[in-house]
Amino acid sequence: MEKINTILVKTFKITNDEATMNLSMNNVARWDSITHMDLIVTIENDFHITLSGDDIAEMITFDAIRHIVKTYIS
Amino acid sequence: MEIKGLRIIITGAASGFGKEMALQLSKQGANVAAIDCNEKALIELHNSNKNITIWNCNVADNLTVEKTIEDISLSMGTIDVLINNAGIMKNAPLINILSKTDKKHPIELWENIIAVNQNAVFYMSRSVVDKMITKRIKGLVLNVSSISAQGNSGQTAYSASKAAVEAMTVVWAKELGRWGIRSVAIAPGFINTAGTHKALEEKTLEQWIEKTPLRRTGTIEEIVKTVQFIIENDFINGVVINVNGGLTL
Repeated sequence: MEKINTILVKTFKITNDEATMNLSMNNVARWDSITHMDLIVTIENDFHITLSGDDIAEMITFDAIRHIVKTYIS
Repeated sequence: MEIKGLRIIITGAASGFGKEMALQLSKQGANVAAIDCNEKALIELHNSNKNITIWNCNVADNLTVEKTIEDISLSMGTIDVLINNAGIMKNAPLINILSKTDKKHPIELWENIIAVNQNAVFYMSRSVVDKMITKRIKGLVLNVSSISAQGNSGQTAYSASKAAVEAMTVVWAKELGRWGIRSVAIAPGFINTAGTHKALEEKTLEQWIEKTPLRRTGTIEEIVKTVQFIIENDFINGVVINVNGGLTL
């Protein structure tokens, strides 16, 4: 999941430490509906996956992101 | 994008620019879905080219738009290009001093023009782009604006609606570029169409021609060629391309 942490750091301009926590849309300043699109596009490109609309809408915490991406790559 | 094989929706496709776009793009191998609210004209279009599918829809009504896009998606599989061409042009001054009753710009005229020229572009685009993103289609939204977006006297509503279309074009380019979806507008000047002759008095049109450096109106073919160029060039995004013979208002 190191790869996801790197994406989180780059997308939300947060520290490496913050990327390892379970932050959410509510407490990451740069995380809004527009940066969420950046997040999804980057994850899809980097992991070569296509996320479903429902999963995209569920990915609003770092833990949810990690969990959902895992289901696509395992 | 290569035009051949593309699935293209065109609104206002039963006459004027839209009809010529439908015929030319179909001729080049695109699968064209022609939307219009004039059923008779749609049938005539289909009779002149059986490859063009026709969809009777009032694009100013969101529920009808949602259903039509759903039906077209099921029929075509997906949508690569949306051309928001439908529009109406009606003129009125903000205050008409010739009127003996209410001199103010009619509210219903304002609402009618905003509904067709502005709201419809929003309704169509949100429905189609939703399909594009769901299927990860790197598509194109092509909006037909007008030189009047810069502000033309006697056209409060029309100018406002087209300025809004240009603003939406830029917003969508910025928002949707990350998905590989482009958003572009063309802004024709005075083009030799039945609609132009209907909307303007001949002497007014002659005055505009005099102000145009090329001293003529444009042709529908010149608009269609611009549309083709925008479809084919995948790096054009977020701009309004003027096709007006050098005229600035």
